[in-house]
Amino acid sequence: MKGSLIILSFFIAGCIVGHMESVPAWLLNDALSTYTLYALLFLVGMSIGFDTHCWQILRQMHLKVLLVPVAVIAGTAAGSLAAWCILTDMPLRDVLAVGAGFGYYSLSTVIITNLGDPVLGSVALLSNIIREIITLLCTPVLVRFFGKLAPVASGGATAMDTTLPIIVKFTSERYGIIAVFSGMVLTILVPFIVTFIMT
Amino acid sequence: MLITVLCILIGIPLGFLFRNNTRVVNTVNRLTMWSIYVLLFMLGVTTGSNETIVTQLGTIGVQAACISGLCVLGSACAVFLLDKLFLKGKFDER
Repeated sequence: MKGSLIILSFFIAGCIVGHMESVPAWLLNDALSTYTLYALLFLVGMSIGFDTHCWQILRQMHLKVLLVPVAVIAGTAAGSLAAWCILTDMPLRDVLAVGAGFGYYSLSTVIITNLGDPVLGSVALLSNIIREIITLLCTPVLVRFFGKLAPVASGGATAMDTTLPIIVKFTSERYGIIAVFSGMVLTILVPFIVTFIMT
Repeated sequence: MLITVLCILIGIPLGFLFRNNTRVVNTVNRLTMWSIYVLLFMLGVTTGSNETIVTQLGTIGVQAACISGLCVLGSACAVFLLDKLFLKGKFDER
């Protein structure tokens, strides 16, 4: 919990700095966050390498691991449907498209902005960022109530990169491998699913 | 996409090589937490500097929070059922 609060305070500090009149240009540069992400992924790769037994499980489960991203897609669609029932002022197509970002906010925002309207793009950006933040903050709670696969599902496409360290920290390296696999499948599918829903 | 996978793949053999070196393991764990902090801060900067989001924060925020919250809940329930009905804890360590 303490870790989550520290993470949240870093995000809020970022929001405040970003909203200030004079934001240093180097902070808005995408390159910095991109390279930080690469460094993070490299470190995550190293912690996967620390666990020597974790590879056996991937061999044991083989095809069954495919069911994880399938369940994530089905569950997300069901969640979008429920959100559509509550948000009466949004068409079902829009809600499904926003949900189908699976946390991959950069790509889904670009696709939705190009095919639909910029406001829906902002909803997609915020919604998918929130999905990532929920995963970063609530992973301990999700694990407690829904089991160790829950943060993998919640993270969606981000389970392979940004939310992976948190997932590994609160579950195990084995679930980290499942997270990379599930996140990879979803990352590949996001552009196809979002485009399919929007057209 | 290719680079992200490549970054992980380069790390794995190095981690395997240094798996018994406690100093490396501890440093990696500490650096991991700090890179998460930096990324979240940058995410905040991007969100805070986007004018459309800030001005229409009310409507956009409610819609976005509702969709993402229910999507998280839906997918968490789906994998919970998947684990209970099909996998039956097969992924756990033994």
